Order: sequence, then structure tokens, then C-alpha cells
Amino acid sequence: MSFTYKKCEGTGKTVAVIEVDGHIVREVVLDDVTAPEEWSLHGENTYNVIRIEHGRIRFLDANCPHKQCIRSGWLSKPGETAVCLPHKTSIKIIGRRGRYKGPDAISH
Amino acid sequence: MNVLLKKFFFCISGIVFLLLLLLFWKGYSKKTPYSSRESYALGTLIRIQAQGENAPQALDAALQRIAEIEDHMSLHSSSSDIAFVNQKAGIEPVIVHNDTFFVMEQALKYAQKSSGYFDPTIGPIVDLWGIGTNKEKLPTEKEITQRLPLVNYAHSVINKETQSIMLLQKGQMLDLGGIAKGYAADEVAQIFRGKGIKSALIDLGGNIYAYGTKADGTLWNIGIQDPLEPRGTPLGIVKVSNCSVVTSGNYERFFEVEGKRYHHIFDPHSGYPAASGLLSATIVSQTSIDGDALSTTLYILGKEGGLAFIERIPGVEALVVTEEKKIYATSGMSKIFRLIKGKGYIYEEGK
Repeated sequence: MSFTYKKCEGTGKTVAVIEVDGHIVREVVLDDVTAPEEWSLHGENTYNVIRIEHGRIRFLDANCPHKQCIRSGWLSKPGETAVCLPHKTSIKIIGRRGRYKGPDAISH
Repeated sequence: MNVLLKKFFFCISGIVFLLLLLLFWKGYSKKTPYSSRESYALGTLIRIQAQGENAPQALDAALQRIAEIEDHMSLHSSSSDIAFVNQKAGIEPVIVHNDTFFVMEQALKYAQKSSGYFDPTIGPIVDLWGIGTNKEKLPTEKEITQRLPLVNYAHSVINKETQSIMLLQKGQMLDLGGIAKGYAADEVAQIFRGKGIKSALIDLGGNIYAYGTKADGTLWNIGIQDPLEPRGTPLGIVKVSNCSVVTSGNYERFFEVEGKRYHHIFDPHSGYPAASGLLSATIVSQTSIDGDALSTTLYILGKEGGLAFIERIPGVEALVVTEEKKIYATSGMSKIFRLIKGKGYIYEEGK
């Protein structure tokens, strides 16, 4: 479980967790974002640009073949995710407002 | 002290001991942690969690098996069985691994049952549209009519004795993308059974297998993705145990040209993305290979023909979401499905 999330547990804040190849590279407490930011992640020949705003986050740009990650749009609620498969990069929103009873998994 | 009293005490302490053992066991099974693995495989993001002391080694075995399946059946590997079969289309049969042969056998079975609405030889059309690659494009009608005759599962031969597959026409291409993940999930479940795992959740890029029950003995809650919301948002929940839940939808892989969306579930009869009026189709079944193949078939067939087709298959339930945000399902679905209110969907139960 992410470190930032553990700190935020019970506070009702939403946290965005950005992972590359299964490793957490950054966590953002979306509710605490004061100014928008465009964060670039570079791999060997790859890049993804993630836009972080107050309360929401998304893939903004990438040089992956099909840009499905960009098409996923804005994420803002716990459980929402977007993945750039070719770049093994994912954004997940975690957080609890009270006792959130979400499903164990989602068929999609 | 007489014998009777001694026997009585022995009996009572035996019962107390058993009760304590039961309480301890129940408490233990609740508290034994889940181990999980997340990785990129089969062209998608997979996540598997299992409970138990030998869960870590069971998970390792599962990942190994998945890598093997990918090795044998992937279109993106130039040394997979499928790549070789495609290379030798119109030339000669190719001997394949046991699992590839089995999956092809099953794929042909679904193709026959569905009168070709599920067709593993859909490769040339998938390749033409290029959805999910950097050569995705809107083909001309001429390009589609040229390639469409190559889509024909009946122009293939499988030989059980030699364990070989042959595509009879040059240019034909197998694509097991609509069934391989389902097969993989079943294989993982099989490995877990062999290792005595009691509870697990297998998620292969959104193809779910709910193995056993949750640690507290309750059913797994599997959400069905809301086709109009970001991934991770359900429109309803099915409560299941030892069941596969697979969804095919028009929101997973697509591109847009002049405001029109072209998704990745092609109708083998037209060569175009299926236009059945559905946003998604979900299958709940005992095996995930069934779920994978049937969800694709159901999506292409649409509400009318599709639900009737599934209704005739024992042990399988289905649910479709139409473009009008209406939900229809097979007769057994209402026992396990609950709609989440407030999302604007109408569950037309019993219709």
C-alpha cells in the first residue's frame, strides 16, 4: 500500500498513484494541488506527459502507438484507472470517503 | 470418580478443544494475508491475488504459465505457434504445443456454434484496421472486401494425431486474442486448485476469475464496468464464487475519425466493427475460456439474437448494456446482479 495513502487514510482525501512497471514513481494528493502541473516521464525511447490539477489527473500526451491512455481522459474518483500498456505506466486513484464499499475487481 | 464421569469430562473437553480449534481456524483463515502479483503480460495489465502460506509460490507458477501461454499464442511474437501457422498459410500444416491446439479446437467449436460470429481467422481484418497500433486507419470499402474472404474458420484444418493446424489459403491469419486470456485465467485457477489455494482473485486485463470465496466466506463482488465512465467505475455488481466474469465493450480499444468511433470488436461477416447497438456485453460462466469467446460473440450478435443464443447454453448467464443505457439479461442473472442506482441505467429485468 502506498506511503502517501497510508498518511491520508481516514482523511477522506483522494490520492493518485503513478506506477511504472509495477513500481510507484509518484503519489499526488489531488485535493492538495494548488496549481496545475504537467509532469513528463521519460523511458529509453518513450515518454508520457501527465497533467495534474486540483482534484483530477490524466495522461495528456505520449509517444505510444495508439494513445489509448490519453483517450481514457480525466480521473478523479477512487477506483478510476488509466493505463499506458506499451509504456507499462498506470495512474490509479485511491482513497476512501468514509467506508467506501467498492467491488473487489471490475470486469471490463 | 466413576467411569461415567470420567468419560463425560473427556467428552466435554474434546468438544471444547474442537470448538477452540474451529474458532482458531476461522480466525486464522480470515487473517492469513493475500499475496498478489501485478505485471504486464498477454498484452495487458494483469493482477492476481491469492490467500495462503503457499500463495507466493502458487503465484509464481501462475505467472510462469501465463508467460508460456503468451509465448505459444501471441500474435506479437515472431516465434509463437500462431506466427508459424500464419507464415505457413496456404503452404503446409504446423505442429503446435498442446495448449495452442486445445485453444484452437475450442475456438473452432465456438465458431461453429455461433455460425461464424466468433471466428479465430479474423486476423486479416484486425491487421487491416490496425487498432491499437501506430498504423491504425479507416480502410476503404475495397480494402475490406478484398480481405474479407480470408476470414473463414472453415478454411482451416486441425489434426489431433499430429497436433497440427493449417490455414488453407495464403493470406489467412489466426488471431486468438478473443479467447487466449480466458484460457489463461482457467489455467491459473487450475494451478491454484493443484496447490490447495482456497481463495483468490484473478484479473487478466479485466477478464476476471473469482476463485473460491473471500477469506470471510462471502461471495466475491465483481463490478461490471460502466461503459461511459473512466475505467474503475462500475454500473453494477455480480456476487459470485468460482466463476468467470468477462466483458466485451466498445470503450476498450478504439479510434475516432470525424467524430465517429471505430472499436476493436469486428464482425467477421462485414469486416467492420460490430454495430449491434451495444456498449458492452458481459458473460458469467464457469470457465473463462467460455466467457472470453462468448462475450465477443454476444457483443457482435446484439441484444435480440445474442441473449437468446446464450440462454440456450446451460450454466452461462449474460448481461448487455445498450446504447440507450438499458440493461437486459438472461433469466438467471437477476439472482446475482445488482444495479448501482443513480447512474442513469435502467435494468429491464425479465425482458
